[in-house]
Amino acid sequence: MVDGVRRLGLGVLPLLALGGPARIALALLVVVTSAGSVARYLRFTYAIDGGELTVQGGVLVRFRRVIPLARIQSVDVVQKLRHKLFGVVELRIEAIGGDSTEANLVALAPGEAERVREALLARALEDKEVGQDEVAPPLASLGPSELSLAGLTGGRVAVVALLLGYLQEVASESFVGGIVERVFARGAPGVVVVIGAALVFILVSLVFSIAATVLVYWGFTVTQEGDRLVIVRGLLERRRATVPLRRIQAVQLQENLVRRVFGLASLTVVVAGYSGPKEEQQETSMLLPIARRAEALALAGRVLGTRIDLTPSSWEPVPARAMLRRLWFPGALALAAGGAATLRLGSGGILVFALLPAVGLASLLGWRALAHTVTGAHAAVRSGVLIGRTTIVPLANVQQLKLTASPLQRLHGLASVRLHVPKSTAHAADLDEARARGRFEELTRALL
Amino acid sequence: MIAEGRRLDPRVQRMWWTIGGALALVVVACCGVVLAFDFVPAVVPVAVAAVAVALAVLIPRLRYRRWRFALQERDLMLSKGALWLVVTLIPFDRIQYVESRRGPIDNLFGLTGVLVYTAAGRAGHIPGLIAAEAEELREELSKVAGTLSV
Repeated sequence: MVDGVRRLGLGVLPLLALGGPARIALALLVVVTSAGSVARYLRFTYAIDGGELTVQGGVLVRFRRVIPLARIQSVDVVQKLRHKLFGVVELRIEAIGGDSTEANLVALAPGEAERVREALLARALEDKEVGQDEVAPPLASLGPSELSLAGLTGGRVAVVALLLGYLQEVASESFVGGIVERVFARGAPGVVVVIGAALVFILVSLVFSIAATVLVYWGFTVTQEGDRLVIVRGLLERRRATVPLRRIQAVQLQENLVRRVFGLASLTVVVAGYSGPKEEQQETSMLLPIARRAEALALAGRVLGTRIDLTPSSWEPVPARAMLRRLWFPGALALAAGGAATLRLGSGGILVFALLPAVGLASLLGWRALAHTVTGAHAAVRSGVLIGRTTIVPLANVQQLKLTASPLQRLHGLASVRLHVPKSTAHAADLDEARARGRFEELTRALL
Repeated sequence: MIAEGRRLDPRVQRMWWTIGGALALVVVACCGVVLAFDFVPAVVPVAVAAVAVALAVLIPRLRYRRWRFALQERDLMLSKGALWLVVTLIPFDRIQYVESRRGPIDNLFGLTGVLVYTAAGRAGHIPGLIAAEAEELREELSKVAGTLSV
Protein backbone atom coordinates (compact mmCIF):
# COMPACT_ATOMS: atom_id res chain seq x y z
CA MET A 1 0.00 0.00 0.00
CA VAL A 2 2.59 2.47 1.07
CA ASP A 3 4.62 1.66 -1.99
CA GLY A 4 1.55 2.14 -4.18
CA VAL A 5 0.77 5.48 -2.63
CA ARG A 6 4.31 6.62 -3.24
CA ARG A 7 4.21 5.56 -6.86
CA LEU A 8 0.92 7.39 -7.25
CA GLY A 9 2.42 10.54 -5.79
CA LEU A 10 5.15 10.54 -8.43
CA GLY A 11 2.67 10.15 -11.27
CA VAL A 12 0.38 12.90 -10.05
CA LEU A 13 2.92 15.66 -9.67
CA PRO A 14 3.39 16.60 -13.35
CA LEU A 15 -0.33 16.28 -14.08
CA LEU A 16 -1.29 18.75 -11.39
CA ALA A 17 0.28 21.49 -13.46
CA LEU A 18 -2.08 20.83 -16.39
CA GLY A 19 -5.76 21.61 -16.80
CA GLY A 20 -8.65 20.41 -18.99
CA PRO A 21 -8.43 16.85 -20.30
CA ALA A 22 -5.43 16.21 -18.06
CA ARG A 23 -7.78 16.48 -15.07
CA ILE A 24 -9.79 13.54 -16.36
CA ALA A 25 -6.63 11.57 -16.98
CA LEU A 26 -5.54 12.42 -13.47
CA ALA A 27 -8.80 11.20 -11.96
CA LEU A 28 -8.55 7.97 -13.97
CA LEU A 29 -4.96 7.46 -12.90
CA VAL A 30 -5.84 7.96 -9.26
CA VAL A 31 -8.64 5.40 -9.47
CA VAL A 32 -6.59 2.82 -11.37
CA THR A 33 -3.48 3.05 -9.24
CA SER A 34 -5.35 3.03 -5.97
CA ALA A 35 -7.39 0.08 -7.13
CA GLY A 36 -4.15 -1.61 -8.17
CA SER A 37 -2.59 -0.90 -4.78
CA VAL A 38 -5.61 -2.18 -2.91
CA ALA A 39 -5.74 -5.31 -5.08
CA ARG A 40 -2.04 -5.90 -4.57
CA TYR A 41 -2.48 -5.44 -0.84
CA LEU A 42 -5.42 -7.84 -0.73
CA ARG A 43 -3.60 -10.45 -2.81
CA PHE A 44 -0.32 -10.36 -0.93
CA THR A 45 0.00 -13.00 1.76
CA TYR A 46 2.86 -14.62 3.57
CA ALA A 47 3.00 -17.62 5.85
CA ILE A 48 5.62 -19.42 7.89
CA ASP A 49 4.79 -23.07 8.09
CA GLY A 50 6.63 -26.37 8.23
CA GLY A 51 10.08 -24.80 8.07
CA GLU A 52 9.26 -22.71 5.00
CA LEU A 53 8.38 -19.14 4.27
CA THR A 54 5.75 -18.82 1.56
CA VAL A 55 5.14 -15.47 -0.10
CA GLN A 56 2.43 -15.10 -2.71
CA GLY A 57 0.55 -12.33 -4.42
CA GLY A 58 0.44 -10.36 -7.64
CA VAL A 59 -2.49 -8.97 -9.58
CA LEU A 60 -1.77 -9.45 -13.26
CA VAL A 61 1.12 -11.83 -12.81
CA ARG A 62 0.65 -14.11 -9.85
CA PHE A 63 3.69 -15.31 -7.97
CA ARG A 64 4.31 -17.80 -5.23
CA ARG A 65 7.71 -18.25 -3.73
CA VAL A 66 8.74 -20.79 -1.13
CA ILE A 67 11.96 -20.24 0.81
CA PRO A 68 13.20 -22.94 3.22
CA LEU A 69 14.00 -21.30 6.57
CA ALA A 70 17.34 -23.08 6.68
CA ARG A 71 18.37 -21.16 3.54
CA ILE A 72 17.66 -17.75 5.03
CA GLN A 73 20.83 -15.75 5.53
CA SER A 74 19.65 -12.54 7.04
CA VAL A 75 16.51 -10.61 7.88
CA ASP A 76 16.76 -6.83 7.90
CA VAL A 77 14.21 -4.49 9.39
CA VAL A 78 14.09 -1.20 7.50
CA GLN A 79 12.07 1.82 8.45
CA LYS A 80 12.23 4.60 5.90
CA LEU A 81 10.55 7.95 6.30
CA ARG A 82 7.47 6.79 4.41
CA HIS A 83 7.23 3.76 6.71
CA LYS A 84 7.47 6.05 9.72
CA LEU A 85 4.56 8.13 8.43
CA PHE A 86 2.33 5.08 8.55
CA GLY A 87 3.91 3.49 11.61
CA VAL A 88 5.05 0.34 9.82
CA VAL A 89 8.37 -1.32 9.00
CA GLU A 90 9.71 -3.30 6.05
CA LEU A 91 11.28 -6.76 6.37
CA ARG A 92 13.92 -7.74 3.83
CA ILE A 93 14.75 -11.40 3.68
CA GLU A 94 17.94 -12.68 2.07
CA ALA A 95 18.56 -16.31 1.20
CA ILE A 96 21.63 -18.13 -0.12
CA GLY A 97 22.15 -17.59 -3.82
CA GLY A 98 20.45 -15.05 -6.05
CA ASP A 99 21.47 -11.47 -6.55
CA SER A 100 18.39 -9.76 -5.19
CA THR A 101 16.51 -9.68 -1.93
CA GLU A 102 14.50 -12.90 -1.99
CA ALA A 103 11.42 -11.63 -0.21
CA ASN A 104 10.25 -8.17 0.73
CA LEU A 105 7.47 -7.68 3.24
CA VAL A 106 7.04 -3.99 2.50
CA ALA A 107 4.77 -2.99 5.37
CA LEU A 108 4.31 -4.73 8.70
CA ALA A 109 3.33 -3.46 12.12
CA PRO A 110 6.53 -3.28 14.22
CA GLY A 111 5.35 -5.95 16.70
CA GLU A 112 4.38 -8.28 13.88
CA ALA A 113 7.71 -7.67 12.13
CA GLU A 114 9.61 -8.62 15.27
CA ARG A 115 7.55 -11.81 15.62
CA VAL A 116 8.15 -12.77 11.98
CA ARG A 117 11.84 -12.05 12.30
CA GLU A 118 12.17 -14.26 15.35
CA ALA A 119 10.22 -17.04 13.64
CA LEU A 120 12.40 -16.82 10.53
CA LEU A 121 15.56 -16.93 12.56
CA ALA A 122 14.34 -19.84 14.66
CA ARG A 123 17.70 -21.56 14.43
CA ALA A 124 19.42 -18.60 15.99
CA LEU A 125 16.80 -18.58 18.71
CA GLU A 126 17.77 -22.06 19.82
CA ASP A 127 21.17 -20.68 20.71
CA LYS A 128 19.63 -17.65 22.32
CA GLU A 129 17.33 -19.51 24.67
CA VAL A 130 20.28 -20.49 26.84
CA GLY A 131 20.82 -16.96 28.01
CA GLN A 132 17.39 -15.57 27.37
CA ASP A 133 16.68 -14.34 30.88
CA GLU A 134 19.51 -11.81 30.67
CA VAL A 135 19.43 -9.46 27.71
CA ALA A 136 22.87 -9.36 26.14
CA PRO A 137 24.47 -5.94 26.57
CA PRO A 138 25.47 -4.34 23.26
CA LEU A 139 29.00 -5.05 22.07
CA ALA A 140 29.26 -1.41 21.14
CA SER A 141 27.05 1.66 21.10
CA LEU A 142 27.66 5.25 20.12
CA GLY A 143 26.16 8.42 21.59
CA PRO A 144 25.66 11.78 19.85
CA SER A 145 29.01 13.12 21.05
CA GLU A 146 30.90 10.16 19.62
CA LEU A 147 29.02 10.46 16.34
CA SER A 148 29.89 14.15 16.17
CA LEU A 149 33.50 13.20 16.70
CA ALA A 150 33.19 10.67 13.87
CA GLY A 151 31.77 13.35 11.58
CA LEU A 152 34.40 15.84 12.70
CA THR A 153 37.22 13.46 11.82
CA GLY A 154 35.51 11.84 8.81
CA GLY A 155 36.62 11.59 5.20
CA ARG A 156 35.81 15.08 3.93
CA VAL A 157 37.47 16.80 6.83
CA ALA A 158 40.56 14.68 6.43
CA VAL A 159 40.85 15.81 2.83
CA VAL A 160 40.65 19.48 3.80
CA ALA A 161 43.22 19.03 6.56
CA LEU A 162 45.47 17.16 4.15
CA LEU A 163 45.26 19.91 1.53
CA LEU A 164 46.12 22.57 4.11
CA GLY A 165 49.02 20.51 5.42
CA TYR A 166 50.25 19.79 1.91
CA LEU A 167 50.12 23.44 0.92
CA GLN A 168 52.18 24.31 3.96
CA GLU A 169 54.67 21.60 3.00
CA VAL A 170 55.07 22.54 -0.65
CA ALA A 171 54.59 26.27 -0.92
CA SER A 172 57.79 28.11 -0.14
CA GLU A 173 57.55 31.24 1.99
CA SER A 174 58.39 33.59 -0.86
CA PHE A 175 55.73 31.97 -3.03
CA VAL A 176 53.07 32.39 -0.37
CA GLY A 177 54.44 35.86 0.38
CA GLY A 178 53.99 36.83 -3.27
CA ILE A 179 50.36 35.83 -3.22
CA VAL A 180 49.76 37.59 0.07
CA GLU A 181 51.34 40.77 -1.32
CA ARG A 182 49.18 40.62 -4.40
CA VAL A 183 46.07 40.18 -2.27
CA PHE A 184 47.08 43.06 -0.04
CA ALA A 185 47.61 45.23 -3.10
CA ARG A 186 43.89 44.90 -3.75
CA GLY A 187 43.31 46.31 -0.27
CA ALA A 188 41.74 44.97 2.89
CA PRO A 189 38.55 43.68 1.18
CA GLY A 190 40.63 41.21 -0.86
CA VAL A 191 42.16 39.68 2.28
CA VAL A 192 38.79 39.42 3.98
CA VAL A 193 37.27 37.69 0.95
CA VAL A 194 40.04 35.10 0.67
CA ILE A 195 40.11 34.27 4.39
CA GLY A 196 36.34 34.38 4.63
CA ALA A 197 35.87 32.02 1.68
CA ALA A 198 38.33 29.51 3.15
CA LEU A 199 36.66 29.66 6.57
CA VAL A 200 33.17 29.24 5.13
CA PHE A 201 34.31 26.29 3.05
CA ILE A 202 35.84 24.54 6.05
CA LEU A 203 32.86 25.33 8.27
CA VAL A 204 30.30 24.11 5.74
CA SER A 205 32.17 20.88 5.09
CA LEU A 206 32.46 20.28 8.85
CA VAL A 207 28.77 20.88 9.50
CA PHE A 208 27.76 18.77 6.52
CA SER A 209 30.00 15.90 7.55
CA ILE A 210 28.80 15.93 11.15
CA ALA A 211 25.11 16.15 10.17
CA ALA A 212 25.41 13.30 7.67
CA THR A 213 27.21 11.05 10.13
CA VAL A 214 24.80 11.76 12.99
CA LEU A 215 21.74 11.15 10.78
CA VAL A 216 23.01 7.88 9.34
CA TYR A 217 24.42 6.40 12.54
CA TRP A 218 22.03 7.85 15.14
CA GLY A 219 21.56 5.46 18.08
CA PHE A 220 24.15 3.03 16.73
CA THR A 221 24.37 -0.27 18.62
CA VAL A 222 25.89 -3.66 17.80
CA THR A 223 24.49 -6.61 19.75
CA GLN A 224 25.29 -10.29 19.57
CA GLU A 225 22.22 -12.54 19.37
CA GLY A 226 23.29 -16.15 19.30
CA ASP A 227 25.43 -16.62 16.20
CA ARG A 228 24.36 -13.32 14.66
CA LEU A 229 25.28 -9.69 15.01
CA VAL A 230 22.46 -7.19 15.03
CA ILE A 231 23.33 -3.64 14.00
CA VAL A 232 20.74 -0.94 14.66
CA ARG A 233 21.17 2.65 13.49
CA GLY A 234 19.65 5.67 11.77
CA LEU A 235 17.53 8.68 12.65
CA LEU A 236 15.32 9.30 9.60
CA GLU A 237 15.58 5.72 8.48
CA ARG A 238 15.77 3.26 11.32
CA ARG A 239 17.74 0.26 10.11
CA ARG A 240 18.28 -3.08 11.75
CA ALA A 241 20.72 -5.38 9.99
CA THR A 242 21.46 -8.97 10.90
CA VAL A 243 24.84 -10.42 10.04
CA PRO A 244 25.51 -14.13 10.67
CA LEU A 245 28.91 -14.38 12.35
CA ARG A 246 30.03 -17.33 10.24
CA ARG A 247 29.44 -15.25 7.09
CA ILE A 248 32.08 -12.71 8.13
CA GLN A 249 35.11 -13.21 5.90
CA ALA A 250 37.44 -10.46 7.04
CA VAL A 251 37.52 -7.33 9.17
CA GLN A 252 39.21 -4.08 8.32
CA LEU A 253 40.36 -1.34 10.65
CA GLN A 254 40.51 2.06 8.96
CA GLU A 255 42.34 5.10 10.27
CA ASN A 256 42.51 8.29 8.26
CA LEU A 257 45.16 10.92 8.92
CA VAL A 258 43.13 12.92 11.42
CA ARG A 259 41.87 9.89 13.30
CA ARG A 260 45.34 8.41 13.58
CA VAL A 261 46.52 11.50 15.47
CA PHE A 262 43.80 10.94 18.08
CA GLY A 263 44.19 7.15 18.19
CA LEU A 264 40.75 6.61 16.66
CA ALA A 265 39.63 4.10 14.05
CA SER A 266 36.58 2.65 12.35
CA LEU A 267 35.87 -1.01 11.77
CA THR A 268 34.19 -2.67 8.77
CA VAL A 269 33.43 -6.30 8.06
CA VAL A 270 33.39 -8.15 4.75
CA VAL A 271 30.30 -10.35 4.62
CA ALA A 272 29.81 -13.01 1.94
CA GLY A 273 26.45 -13.87 0.42
CA TYR A 274 24.86 -10.55 1.16
CA SER A 275 23.18 -8.77 -1.71
CA GLY A 276 21.30 -5.52 -1.95
CA PRO A 277 21.85 -2.01 -3.22
CA LYS A 278 25.50 -1.10 -3.30
CA GLU A 279 25.39 1.71 -0.78
CA GLU A 280 23.39 -0.38 1.68
CA GLN A 281 25.91 -3.17 1.43
CA GLN A 282 28.65 -0.80 2.40
CA GLU A 283 26.74 0.62 5.32
CA THR A 284 25.76 -2.78 6.55
CA SER A 285 29.37 -3.78 6.62
CA MET A 286 30.21 -0.85 8.94
CA LEU A 287 30.63 -2.45 12.32
CA LEU A 288 31.84 0.55 14.26
CA PRO A 289 31.94 4.08 12.78
CA ILE A 290 34.39 5.33 15.39
CA ALA A 291 36.14 4.10 18.52
CA ARG A 292 39.49 4.08 20.25
CA ARG A 293 41.82 1.84 18.29
CA ALA A 294 42.07 -0.70 21.11
CA GLU A 295 38.29 -0.92 21.46
CA ALA A 296 37.87 -1.43 17.72
CA LEU A 297 40.47 -4.22 17.81
CA ALA A 298 38.73 -5.82 20.78
CA LEU A 299 35.44 -5.83 18.86
CA ALA A 300 37.23 -7.30 15.83
CA GLY A 301 38.45 -10.07 18.11
CA ARG A 302 34.94 -10.69 19.46
CA VAL A 303 33.56 -10.92 15.94
CA LEU A 304 36.27 -13.31 14.75
CA GLY A 305 36.09 -15.33 17.95
CA THR A 306 39.64 -14.79 19.17
CA ARG A 307 41.77 -12.20 20.84
CA ILE A 308 43.74 -10.19 18.33
CA ASP A 309 47.15 -9.02 19.42
CA LEU A 310 48.35 -6.31 17.11
CA THR A 311 50.95 -4.56 19.19
CA PRO A 312 53.47 -2.52 17.23
CA SER A 313 56.09 -5.20 17.89
CA SER A 314 54.05 -7.96 16.27
CA TRP A 315 54.16 -6.23 12.87
CA GLU A 316 56.88 -7.17 10.46
CA PRO A 317 58.02 -4.26 8.29
CA VAL A 318 59.11 -4.62 4.65
CA PRO A 319 62.62 -3.82 3.39
CA ALA A 320 63.51 -0.23 2.47
CA ARG A 321 63.87 -1.31 -1.18
CA ALA A 322 60.07 -1.22 -1.26
CA MET A 323 60.34 2.55 -0.99
CA LEU A 324 62.50 2.66 -4.15
CA ARG A 325 59.98 0.46 -5.95
CA ARG A 326 57.27 2.98 -5.08
CA LEU A 327 59.40 5.86 -6.34
CA TRP A 328 59.69 4.74 -9.98
CA PHE A 329 56.39 5.66 -11.60
CA PRO A 330 55.42 8.82 -9.72
CA GLY A 331 59.05 9.97 -9.80
CA ALA A 332 59.28 9.52 -13.57
CA LEU A 333 55.93 11.28 -13.99
CA ALA A 334 57.02 14.22 -11.83
CA LEU A 335 60.32 14.51 -13.73
CA ALA A 336 58.53 14.38 -17.08
CA ALA A 337 55.95 16.95 -15.98
CA GLY A 338 58.69 19.23 -14.64
CA GLY A 339 60.73 18.87 -17.80
CA ALA A 340 57.77 19.56 -20.06
CA ALA A 341 56.68 22.56 -17.99
CA THR A 342 60.19 24.02 -18.03
CA LEU A 343 60.43 23.61 -21.81
CA ARG A 344 57.05 25.22 -22.41
CA LEU A 345 56.87 27.89 -19.71
CA GLY A 346 60.52 28.74 -19.20
CA SER A 347 61.90 29.26 -15.72
CA GLY A 348 58.41 29.39 -14.16
CA GLY A 349 57.97 25.74 -15.08
CA ILE A 350 60.78 24.75 -12.72
CA LEU A 351 58.22 25.15 -9.93
CA VAL A 352 56.66 21.89 -11.10
CA PHE A 353 59.78 20.08 -9.88
CA ALA A 354 58.44 20.92 -6.40
CA LEU A 355 56.37 17.76 -6.96
CA LEU A 356 59.52 15.68 -6.51
CA PRO A 357 59.87 16.07 -2.72
CA ALA A 358 56.15 15.35 -2.41
CA VAL A 359 56.59 12.17 -4.44
CA GLY A 360 59.52 11.18 -2.23
CA LEU A 361 57.52 11.84 0.90
CA ALA A 362 54.56 9.85 -0.44
CA SER A 363 56.71 6.82 -1.20
CA LEU A 364 58.43 7.08 2.19
CA LEU A 365 55.09 7.17 4.01
CA GLY A 366 53.66 4.47 1.76
CA TRP A 367 56.60 2.23 2.57
CA ARG A 368 56.36 2.86 6.31
CA ALA A 369 52.65 1.97 6.27
CA LEU A 370 53.34 -1.50 4.85
CA ALA A 371 53.49 -4.39 7.32
CA HIS A 372 52.26 -7.93 7.73
CA THR A 373 51.92 -10.55 10.42
CA VAL A 374 50.50 -14.01 11.02
CA THR A 375 49.13 -14.59 14.50
CA GLY A 376 47.80 -18.06 15.15
CA ALA A 377 44.72 -18.53 13.03
CA HIS A 378 44.79 -15.04 11.48
CA ALA A 379 46.83 -13.10 9.01
CA ALA A 380 46.90 -9.30 9.10
CA VAL A 381 48.23 -6.82 6.57
CA ARG A 382 48.56 -3.07 6.81
CA SER A 383 48.89 -0.39 4.13
CA GLY A 384 47.77 3.07 3.10
CA VAL A 385 48.91 6.61 3.84
CA LEU A 386 45.81 8.79 3.64
CA ILE A 387 43.64 6.03 5.04
CA GLY A 388 45.59 3.42 6.95
CA ARG A 389 43.91 0.04 6.42
CA THR A 390 44.55 -2.98 8.59
CA THR A 391 42.90 -6.09 7.17
CA ILE A 392 42.55 -9.14 9.40
CA VAL A 393 41.71 -12.43 7.69
CA PRO A 394 40.95 -15.72 9.47
CA LEU A 395 43.06 -18.34 7.67
CA ALA A 396 40.04 -20.67 7.61
CA ASN A 397 38.38 -18.27 5.16
CA VAL A 398 41.29 -18.11 2.72
CA GLN A 399 40.25 -19.71 -0.57
CA GLN A 400 43.41 -19.37 -2.59
CA LEU A 401 46.86 -18.06 -1.96
CA LYS A 402 49.06 -16.18 -4.42
CA LEU A 403 52.72 -15.27 -4.53
CA THR A 404 53.28 -12.57 -7.13
CA ALA A 405 56.17 -10.49 -8.42
CA SER A 406 55.93 -7.67 -10.95
CA PRO A 407 58.91 -6.75 -13.14
CA LEU A 408 59.76 -3.79 -10.88
CA GLN A 409 59.46 -5.95 -7.79
CA ARG A 410 61.81 -8.51 -9.32
CA LEU A 411 64.28 -5.74 -10.10
CA HIS A 412 64.38 -4.92 -6.39
CA GLY A 413 64.14 -8.52 -5.17
CA LEU A 414 60.63 -8.08 -3.79
CA ALA A 415 57.41 -10.08 -3.97
CA SER A 416 53.84 -9.93 -2.71
CA VAL A 417 51.59 -12.43 -0.98
CA ARG A 418 47.84 -12.25 -1.60
CA LEU A 419 45.21 -14.02 0.50
CA HIS A 420 41.91 -14.31 -1.35
CA VAL A 421 38.78 -14.59 0.76
CA PRO A 422 35.25 -14.34 -0.67
CA LYS A 423 34.62 -10.74 -1.76
CA SER A 424 37.98 -9.43 -0.62
CA THR A 425 41.75 -9.88 -0.82
CA ALA A 426 44.40 -9.18 1.78
CA HIS A 427 47.51 -8.02 -0.03
CA ALA A 428 50.86 -8.11 1.72
CA ALA A 429 52.93 -6.02 -0.68
CA ASP A 430 56.67 -5.74 -1.27
CA LEU A 431 58.12 -8.34 1.06
CA ASP A 432 61.70 -9.43 0.59
CA GLU A 433 61.55 -12.18 -2.04
CA ALA A 434 62.83 -14.96 0.22
CA ARG A 435 60.65 -13.77 3.08
CA ALA A 436 57.60 -13.74 0.79
CA ARG A 437 58.30 -17.33 -0.16
CA GLY A 438 58.68 -18.18 3.53
CA ARG A 439 55.34 -16.56 4.33
CA PHE A 440 53.75 -18.36 1.39
CA GLU A 441 55.00 -21.72 2.64
CA GLU A 442 53.98 -20.93 6.21
CA LEU A 443 50.46 -20.04 5.05
CA THR A 444 50.35 -23.12 2.81
CA ARG A 445 51.04 -25.32 5.82
CA ALA A 446 48.35 -23.51 7.80
CA LEU A 447 45.79 -23.94 5.01
CA LEU A 448 46.34 -27.60 4.22
CA MET B 1 58.94 -19.97 -9.47
CA ILE B 2 58.43 -23.68 -8.90
CA ALA B 3 60.35 -25.87 -11.29
CA GLU B 4 58.56 -29.22 -11.03
CA GLY B 5 55.07 -29.94 -12.33
CA ARG B 6 53.30 -30.54 -15.62
CA ARG B 7 53.64 -28.28 -18.64
CA LEU B 8 51.03 -27.06 -21.07
CA ASP B 9 50.74 -28.46 -24.56
CA PRO B 10 53.41 -26.82 -26.75
CA ARG B 11 50.75 -25.82 -29.28
CA VAL B 12 49.52 -23.19 -26.83
CA GLN B 13 52.53 -21.08 -27.89
CA ARG B 14 51.17 -20.88 -31.42
CA MET B 15 47.83 -19.77 -30.02
CA TRP B 16 49.49 -17.03 -27.98
CA TRP B 17 51.61 -15.97 -30.94
CA THR B 18 48.47 -15.67 -33.04
CA ILE B 19 46.63 -13.57 -30.43
CA GLY B 20 49.70 -11.46 -29.64
CA GLY B 21 50.47 -11.08 -33.36
CA ALA B 22 46.95 -9.78 -34.04
CA LEU B 23 47.27 -7.25 -31.20
CA ALA B 24 50.75 -6.22 -32.36
CA LEU B 25 49.37 -5.75 -35.87
CA VAL B 26 46.74 -3.34 -34.55
CA VAL B 27 49.40 -1.41 -32.63
CA VAL B 28 51.69 -1.27 -35.70
CA ALA B 29 48.79 -0.04 -37.86
CA CYS B 30 48.03 2.73 -35.34
CA CYS B 31 51.72 3.67 -35.26
CA GLY B 32 51.69 3.79 -39.06
CA VAL B 33 48.79 6.25 -39.00
CA VAL B 34 50.57 8.41 -36.41
CA LEU B 35 53.75 8.31 -38.51
CA ALA B 36 51.81 9.34 -41.64
CA PHE B 37 50.20 12.33 -39.94
CA ASP B 38 53.47 13.41 -38.34
CA PHE B 39 52.03 14.49 -34.92
CA VAL B 40 55.13 13.57 -32.94
CA PRO B 41 58.79 12.90 -33.70
CA ALA B 42 59.05 9.76 -35.85
CA VAL B 43 61.08 7.98 -33.14
CA VAL B 44 58.04 7.57 -30.88
CA PRO B 45 55.71 5.51 -33.13
CA VAL B 46 58.62 3.46 -34.48
CA ALA B 47 59.77 2.62 -30.94
CA VAL B 48 56.25 1.73 -29.82
CA ALA B 49 55.75 -0.54 -32.82
CA ALA B 50 59.11 -2.22 -32.24
CA VAL B 51 58.29 -2.87 -28.57
CA ALA B 52 54.87 -4.28 -29.49
CA VAL B 53 56.36 -6.68 -32.03
CA ALA B 54 59.15 -7.73 -29.66
CA LEU B 55 56.64 -8.45 -26.88
CA ALA B 56 54.36 -10.39 -29.23
CA VAL B 57 57.30 -12.57 -30.26
CA LEU B 58 58.95 -13.04 -26.84
CA ILE B 59 56.08 -13.24 -24.37
CA PRO B 60 54.52 -16.53 -25.57
CA ARG B 61 57.89 -18.25 -25.38
CA LEU B 62 58.61 -16.94 -21.86
CA ARG B 63 55.11 -17.74 -20.77
CA TYR B 64 55.24 -21.29 -22.01
CA ARG B 65 58.60 -21.91 -20.40
CA ARG B 66 57.35 -20.65 -17.05
CA TRP B 67 53.93 -22.35 -17.01
CA ARG B 68 53.74 -25.31 -14.58
CA PHE B 69 50.85 -26.91 -12.80
CA ALA B 70 50.87 -29.68 -10.28
CA LEU B 71 48.21 -31.69 -8.50
CA GLN B 72 49.84 -32.22 -5.15
CA GLU B 73 48.68 -34.19 -2.17
CA ARG B 74 46.07 -31.70 -0.97
CA ASP B 75 46.27 -28.76 -3.34
CA LEU B 76 46.57 -27.55 -6.89
CA MET B 77 49.62 -25.40 -7.55
CA LEU B 78 49.96 -23.13 -10.58
CA SER B 79 53.08 -21.21 -11.51
CA LYS B 80 53.04 -18.82 -14.44
CA GLY B 81 53.89 -15.40 -15.80
CA ALA B 82 56.25 -14.00 -18.41
CA LEU B 83 56.83 -10.61 -16.78
CA TRP B 84 54.44 -10.71 -13.83
CA LEU B 85 55.15 -13.93 -11.95
CA VAL B 86 52.27 -15.57 -10.13
CA VAL B 87 52.26 -18.73 -8.02
CA THR B 88 48.75 -19.82 -7.00
CA LEU B 89 47.89 -22.37 -4.37
CA ILE B 90 44.33 -23.74 -4.30
CA PRO B 91 43.62 -26.25 -1.51
CA PHE B 92 41.35 -29.03 -2.83
CA ASP B 93 38.77 -28.50 -0.09
CA ARG B 94 38.27 -24.88 -1.20
CA ILE B 95 37.37 -25.79 -4.78
CA GLN B 96 33.70 -25.10 -5.49
CA TYR B 97 33.53 -26.30 -9.07
CA VAL B 98 35.70 -27.00 -12.09
CA GLU B 99 34.88 -26.39 -15.72
CA SER B 100 36.56 -27.05 -19.03
CA ARG B 101 36.23 -24.43 -21.72
CA ARG B 102 36.88 -24.48 -25.43
CA GLY B 103 36.48 -21.12 -27.14
CA PRO B 104 36.64 -20.40 -30.88
CA ILE B 105 40.36 -19.60 -30.77
CA ASP B 106 41.05 -22.70 -28.66
CA ASN B 107 39.19 -24.66 -31.31
CA LEU B 108 41.51 -23.42 -34.07
CA PHE B 109 44.44 -25.00 -32.26
CA GLY B 110 42.59 -28.03 -30.90
CA LEU B 111 43.08 -26.97 -27.29
CA THR B 112 40.90 -26.87 -24.17
CA GLY B 113 41.26 -24.89 -20.96
CA VAL B 114 40.37 -25.86 -17.41
CA LEU B 115 39.01 -23.30 -14.95
CA VAL B 116 38.90 -23.72 -11.19
CA TYR B 117 36.50 -21.73 -9.02
CA THR B 118 36.49 -21.21 -5.26
CA ALA B 119 34.15 -19.18 -3.07
CA ALA B 120 36.42 -16.21 -3.83
CA GLY B 121 35.74 -16.45 -7.58
CA ARG B 122 37.93 -17.79 -10.36
CA ALA B 123 41.07 -19.10 -8.71
CA GLY B 124 42.92 -20.57 -11.67
CA HIS B 125 42.83 -20.96 -15.43
CA ILE B 126 44.96 -23.61 -17.06
CA PRO B 127 44.89 -22.89 -20.80
CA GLY B 128 46.16 -24.98 -23.66
CA LEU B 129 45.60 -28.64 -22.87
CA ILE B 130 44.66 -31.42 -25.27
CA ALA B 131 40.92 -32.11 -24.95
CA ALA B 132 41.37 -35.58 -23.45
CA GLU B 133 43.93 -34.31 -20.96
CA ALA B 134 41.71 -31.40 -19.99
CA GLU B 135 38.70 -33.63 -19.38
CA GLU B 136 40.83 -35.97 -17.32
CA LEU B 137 42.16 -33.06 -15.25
CA ARG B 138 38.65 -31.70 -14.76
CA GLU B 139 37.42 -35.12 -13.60
CA GLU B 140 40.36 -35.52 -11.28
CA LEU B 141 39.90 -32.07 -9.76
CA SER B 142 36.16 -32.39 -9.27
CA LYS B 143 36.77 -35.74 -7.61
CA VAL B 144 39.17 -34.31 -5.05
CA ALA B 145 37.28 -31.00 -4.66
CA GLY B 146 35.63 -30.74 -1.28
CA THR B 147 36.63 -34.25 -0.26
CA LEU B 148 38.99 -33.11 2.46
CA SER B 149 37.36 -31.62 5.50
CA VAL B 150 38.90 -28.61 7.19
